Formats: sequence, C-alpha cells, structure tokens
Amino acid sequence: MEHLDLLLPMSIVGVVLGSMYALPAMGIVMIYKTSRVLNFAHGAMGMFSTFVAYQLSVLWHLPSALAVVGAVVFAALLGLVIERFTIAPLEGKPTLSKVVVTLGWLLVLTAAAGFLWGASAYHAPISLAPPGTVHLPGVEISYLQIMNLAVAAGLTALLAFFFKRTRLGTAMRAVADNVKAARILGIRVSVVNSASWVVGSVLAAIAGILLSPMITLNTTQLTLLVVSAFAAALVGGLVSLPITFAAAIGLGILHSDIGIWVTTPGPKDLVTLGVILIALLWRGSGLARSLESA
Amino acid sequence: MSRGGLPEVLSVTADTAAVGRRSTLPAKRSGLALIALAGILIAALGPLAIGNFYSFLFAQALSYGIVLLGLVVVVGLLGQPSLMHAELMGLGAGVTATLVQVYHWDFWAAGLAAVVVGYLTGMVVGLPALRIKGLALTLVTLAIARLFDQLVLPSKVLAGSVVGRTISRPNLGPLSLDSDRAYYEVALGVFILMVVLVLTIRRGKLGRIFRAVRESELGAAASGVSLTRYKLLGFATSAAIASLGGVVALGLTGSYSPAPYDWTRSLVLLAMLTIMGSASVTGAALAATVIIVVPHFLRGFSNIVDQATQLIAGGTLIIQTIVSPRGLVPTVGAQVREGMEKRRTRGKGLGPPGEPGSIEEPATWETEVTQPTEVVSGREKR
Repeated sequence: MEHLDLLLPMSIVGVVLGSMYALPAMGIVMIYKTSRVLNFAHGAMGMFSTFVAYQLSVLWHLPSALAVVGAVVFAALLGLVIERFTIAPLEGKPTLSKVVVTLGWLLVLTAAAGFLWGASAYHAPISLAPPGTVHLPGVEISYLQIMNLAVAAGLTALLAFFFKRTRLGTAMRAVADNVKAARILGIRVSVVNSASWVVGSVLAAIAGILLSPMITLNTTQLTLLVVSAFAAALVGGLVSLPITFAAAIGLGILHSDIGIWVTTPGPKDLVTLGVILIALLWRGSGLARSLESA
Repeated sequence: MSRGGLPEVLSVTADTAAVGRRSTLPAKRSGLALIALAGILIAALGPLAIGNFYSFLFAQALSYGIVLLGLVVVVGLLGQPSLMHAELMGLGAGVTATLVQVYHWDFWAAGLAAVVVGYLTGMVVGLPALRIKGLALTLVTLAIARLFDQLVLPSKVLAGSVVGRTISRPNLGPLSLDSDRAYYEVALGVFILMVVLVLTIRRGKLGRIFRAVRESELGAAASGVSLTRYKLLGFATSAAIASLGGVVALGLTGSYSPAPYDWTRSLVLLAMLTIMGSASVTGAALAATVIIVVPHFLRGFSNIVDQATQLIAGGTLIIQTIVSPRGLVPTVGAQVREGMEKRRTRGKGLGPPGEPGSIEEPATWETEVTQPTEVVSGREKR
C-alpha cells in the first residue's frame, strides 16, 4: 500500500465529509421517526435550498451570511409546504403512497433546479470561510473544514438539547414512540410532523451549503447525497441519532480514504451500497418490523 | 394518433379481459378478443400509413413499453417500487452490444444472453429481500442504480470507449430488418409476447401469489408462500423483461452509451407507470408513449424537454397520488365499465336504469387487481 502518508489528512477530510452526511441523515431519521416516511427527496430538498443560497450569494452578490439565512428560511418553508400540502393529506393512507410522493418531489426539485440553474453547468462555489489553512503537527486543516465540523457538531448538540429539553422536542419523541398515546395526551401530532419536516429540511440545506465548496456543485451530486445519508441512517436503525451520526462520520472517512487509491466515483458508491446492505441485514429483523409498519 | 393508440387498444382489451374474468359473460369475452385482434392488426399495419420515421419513433416507444411491462411485474404485482429499471435496460443493451461488437456473436444470441444476465442480476438485486421487507428494498435499488450509473454501464467492458459502442441493424434469419418499418414489426411482436407473458402471470397462480405478498408479507408467509422464492422470481422476471427492452432498443438505434439509462430515467419510468396505473398493461403502453413520443413533438426545445418531462411527471405523480391514487387507466377503466354495465342492463331490461352493478360488481374486483397504493390502507400507523 503506497500513499499511506495521505491516510491522516484524507481521514480528516473524511470526518468533515461524514459530518455533512450526518446532518441530512439525522433529518431522515427525524422524519422517519415521526411520520414513518422514508424521504427520498431529502437530498433534493437540500440541493434546491443550496442553489437558493448560490443564487443569493454568487449571482446576486449578497453577503454570504445573508444568503445562508435566506436559504435556511427557504428550506423551512419548503419542508413546511411539502409536509402540509402533500404528505399530511395522505394521513391514514399506506406509507407507500407517501414514499411515492417523495419520489415525485425528487423529480420535481431536480428538474426545477435544472431549469433554473442548469443541470450540468459549472457553478462557482459559495464562499463561506476565508481561504487558508491551520498547521497542526503532521496535517493542515483548512478554515472551511474547521467551520464545517464546528457547525455540524454544534447543530448536533443543539438537536440533542432540543430533543431532551424543549417541549416540541419532547413531543417529537413522544410521537415517535407511540402516535396514539401522544395524541391522547393532547400532543398535536400534525404540528410535530410539520416541525420534523421543517427541521429536517433545514438540516439538509445547511449540509448542502457547507458541502458545496468541497464538491463540484451541481444538481445531481447533492441530490444523491441522500443515498449516503440513508446508509448512515440505516446503520442507526432509522432510530438512533447518535449511532447515525457516528455511522455518517465512518462512511465519510471510508469515502475519503478510498480517494487515495482510486479517483473514479464508482468504488465510493460500491462502499455505500455495501454499508446499506450490511446495515439492512445486520439490523434485519428489527428494521423489518419497523419497516413492515411502513 | 392512429399509431399511438395501437398498442393501447390492444392492451385495454387485454386488461378488461383479465379484470372482467369473473364477471364477464362468454359472449362479451369473445367480443373483447375480437377487439384485441383488431387492435393487433391495426398496430401491425400501422407502419404502412406512417412511414419510416414514425416507425422508428414508435419502435423506440415499444422498447420502453417492454421495460415498463417489466416494471409492472415488480411494482404493480409485487408492490416493490424499483428505481433501477432504466439501468437494467441499459444492461441489456450494453451486454448485447459488447457480445456483438467484441465477440462477434449473432445479435439474437447476444440478446438472449443479455436477458439471462438481466435475470441473474434481478435475482442478485432481489437477494437482500431474504431479510428485508417493505420499502427498504426500494432504497437498495436506488443505491444499485447509482452504482450502475457510475461503475457498471460506463465500464470498459460494457461501453468500450467514451463514445460507447455501435452495431449494425440485425437481420431476422433471412429477413432484412434494415427498414425501420420492418424493425417496428419485430418490436411489436416482442412487445405483444411480453404483454401476454405479464397477463398470464397476472391472471395465473403466480399473480395471485405476488398479490398476496404485496398485500401482506406476513399473511402470505403464514399461508405457506416462500417469500424468498417469489420475491426473487418476481425481481428476476422483471429484470429480464427490462433487459429485453434494452436489447430491442439497441437493435433499433444500433448504438449503446450509458447516458440514456441513468437514475433520473428510472425515476421517470416509475413515475409515469404509477401515474398510468402500476399494475396495468395498458398503463405501461401509455406511459411509454408519453415518455418517448410526446417529447419528440417538443424536440424544438431539445435539452429542456428532458427536464420538462421530469417536472411534469413528478408534479403529476404528487397531485395524482393525493387525488386519485389508483392511477389513470384503472380509474378510467372502472368508469367505462360502469357505463357499459348501465347500457347493457338497460338494453336487456334487467334492473332499472341508472343502477349499475345490479347484476355484477366489477368495481370491487377492479380495486383488488390494480390498486397497490391502497392495499394496506386499513393498517394503522404505530
């Protein structure tokens, strides 16, 4: 094995990459736990919001901070609209129909972004952090990586706090545990469902925006981030947020380290598929039960 | 239009025949068979009227129609949405092109080999079904689709070079298929064969088992159905049919490149079929027409057409799932049948007018056959 000296720096890139998988993965888990929907459009939602930030900052030359705020507000509205108008009306219908709706959104958002910003065009990255690196013994870390990691860690901590300490977070956990009991206790399940979609959408948007300078920004890449996010979410059994987070970091490291030896994107996808399969088989019976109700 | 309607006419009747099996009188069934025969005849004679160019276009639609028939098996009958059927089509085309160009196989032998490869691939894809239930399998198909897009379809083995592979139009024994009209007839023949196959599956024991699995895996397993065996069989059959569609498409265009077979195309196929009615053979034909023929008339906008198709397909899918989840063909079909019942009962003086179903109740049977989205509607979320 050559290039072993690259292992540490690439792994650090991987940790950052993984933290970017973790945000949408946690969103997927949240949405799944409350409304029992596998959201295939999750990546597309993040992608579209990222392009809103791109529009504001790169095309309209607004300050980055303002663009991010704009995109986050947009993401919240998008999540709300999708849940209120297309998922909520299917209450009581089989989950398959809700999943079909998310597939519809996946198509709509990808095509709409293609219309607005060009599917294969080059998109200048959104500049979020000053260029430059910090020297540590043995490795260099860019400001961007530090910022991404900090934001991801901060958001995860915030999410943990939200679930443990706030009324809405507690209500979400209650709905995730038992919808009927939660309803009897006076929790407004529809509000909780909307909230999980809004938070999920915002998480996906932030991940997309942070990730965009690290990858080639186009409509496909971020949309298919959903596959990696799903992989992490499945390792967490679609239930556990901490395991999901750890799995996402692990997957990020794997993806990044593969890049040392092969540069084509194929093997990465092979790893993702492998993780999905192993997670499904390993989590088999437990997942089967939870997906059976899905 | 004379053309676009053809395969549909054929399969509308086939559909109705299948659905109405329990409720239809022998006289009516022979009438339907007559209509089906007339439909096939019109479809077969169509090229005389429309010329080479449109023959090419409709032959292409037929190749997609075959893929969609494969999708009917896995989505409509087995209730497992697949997001990799365009990739399976590409696999069929790619394997055939490689065998013909590199190993100088006969086109049809290569096509047969490609179908076998498709069948085996379907089995491998279905393997996780041993442990995985429900919609997680859809997720697996998305991951595999991605893998195919990146690794398999553009690989050196299948695509050869960046530009892909080119082969010449095959002959059928002594018959030259060089004209697009002639090739259209072959495509139509394969399509009809696949319609018959899918209808046979749907009406037979296998179809009943598939539906049982779709409606409740637990229930089916409890009745002694081997989930593993039938899921694998369903996936493999579906994948083989999809690969065959790719073979037919390759023979028509003579070129293989991975580009047309990506995940968005798979998604459009699934969306269109679901819109039209996922268990419906007519739906498959209609969906193929919409995907291939309609965009052609918008060709002036070239690149944008693909996105427009996706946008419309996605938007329609969302609205329709909420408003009328059964799909276009079953919904319209139920209404047509209701109207026919009304007229028939009135004509024979059986029962008062305006009271459909006074003799038979086709509507209930209909929902049972073609309503994958509502089969478990009784089940509560936890």
